[in-house]
Amino acid sequence: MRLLTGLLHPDAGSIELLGRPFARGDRRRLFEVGALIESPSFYPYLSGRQNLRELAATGATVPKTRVEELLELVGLRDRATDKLSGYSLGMKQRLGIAGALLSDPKLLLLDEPANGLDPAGIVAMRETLRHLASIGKTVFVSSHLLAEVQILADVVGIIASGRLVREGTMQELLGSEEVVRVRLPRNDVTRATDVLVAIAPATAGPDLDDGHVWLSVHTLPDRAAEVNRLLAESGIYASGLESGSDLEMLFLELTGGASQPGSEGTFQGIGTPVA
Amino acid sequence: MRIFGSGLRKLVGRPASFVTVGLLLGLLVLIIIASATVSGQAESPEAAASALALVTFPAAYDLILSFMLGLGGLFAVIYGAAIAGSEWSWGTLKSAVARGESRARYMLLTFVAIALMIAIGLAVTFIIGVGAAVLGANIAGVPTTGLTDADTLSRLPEQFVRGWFAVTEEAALGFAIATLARSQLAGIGAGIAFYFGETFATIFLPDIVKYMPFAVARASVDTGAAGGGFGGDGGGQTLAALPADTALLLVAAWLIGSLLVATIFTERAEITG
Repeated sequence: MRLLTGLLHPDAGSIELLGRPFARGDRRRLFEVGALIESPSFYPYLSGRQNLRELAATGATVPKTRVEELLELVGLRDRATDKLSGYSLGMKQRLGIAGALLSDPKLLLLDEPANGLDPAGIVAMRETLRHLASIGKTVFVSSHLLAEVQILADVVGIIASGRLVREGTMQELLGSEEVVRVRLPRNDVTRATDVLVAIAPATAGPDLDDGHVWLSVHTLPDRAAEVNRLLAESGIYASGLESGSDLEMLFLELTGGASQPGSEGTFQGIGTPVA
Repeated sequence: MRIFGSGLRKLVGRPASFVTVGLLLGLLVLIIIASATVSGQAESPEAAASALALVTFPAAYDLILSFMLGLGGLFAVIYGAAIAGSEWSWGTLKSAVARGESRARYMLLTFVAIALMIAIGLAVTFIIGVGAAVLGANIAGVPTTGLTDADTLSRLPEQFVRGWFAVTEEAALGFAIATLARSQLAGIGAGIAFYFGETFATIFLPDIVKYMPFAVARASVDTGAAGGGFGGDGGGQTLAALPADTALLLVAAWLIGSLLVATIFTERAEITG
């Protein structure tokens, strides 16, 4: 994202932005791009409205009414005259999204846009981004919140250790990882695995705190009822049943489930071997 | 023009602008009033005359200007560093660059706004300082007939412009240092260290220091109080100052050099913060 916005200069390779090559001297091409990279950056002693106005003085020309429109859009109109130093993280984030939208960009680059937002704010942001996509804008989001990405994105790329390991539409990616998950007592896992062989191979996840385990049955999601029936007929009663696939499982499978050397912000859980 | 206007608005709203001018002005007024009130208690006529110098016109004009250039130089380097450094520390330069703004233009126009703010700050300080000196003269019972001294008043505008140029150069130095440091605090710290380091070096290297930025800034304005005035050469050593016009050329060189360094560094920098 920093390369795409001219903040970093590539050592090698080339960049294409909105379908055309983007080189060091092409800063005006960024007039078509809006970005929120890492944390929102503003002057703490200015108000939200003043910050947007001063940001609008840079780059592409922005209509005077645009600042008020965006303050309304991100729900900060009532707090627009407050100094930024008094804003919460979520308010700063909303102002950052407003800043990224200032020049009505064709391409919107957002780094962890849900950071600091409350649930209502996340829903509102999701709707806003969906609306922007529906009117022909390209919205590019980088996030570690995979559940949020799964709801929001049409096309996903998974990066591990700086390399793109999988890319495709959400349907394609999740379609290749269909699974039914059953929550069982640890003691029943071996018997359940034997019973479920009739449908598909199953793999057990790590022990949960309450002595249960999630067992993943690699089969079509619409066979969940069949899985449940087979288990019940064998006297095994599931305390939880999930079907389908999610991005988190796919991500863990593709990245091996462990933190990558040099990766950003990966939590080393208890029991996770450290390389 | 948009960037310049924006830069100016940002500086007007910035507490550092008021704190800097307020401190300079507060100290100046305090010294003037203190000098006027204690002059009557001086033990010798020489001490009394020295205390009254600040409230005796037309010499008071030169002393006020000298004070502004001395302490103002330190404040200017801090101010310049604070503005440039905060662009990196707060990430606001990043936001501007990501919107397609020219890095060089952004930095240069931000500095032009600083230069204008310095002019306003110096003018306010000078006017209020002169007002305080008149008040001090009345307190001390000193006549103010020299206030309208034609000779002094005729050269005052040129001295003021030279003083502004010199202080602006010192701000540019702080601006460049903070840009290299990419940090507000580091920039301010390094700027202060440079200021006192140059003063300290006067003791050992007077022939070199006279070409250094703070020394040439002081020498570029012939206040008649240079060296012996406020914020003089310090270190107990009198610096053989350069002729004012030569010093002015060097001030221009330091100013341009500092801005070039800041601009080139910003153009080439990888913005990661």
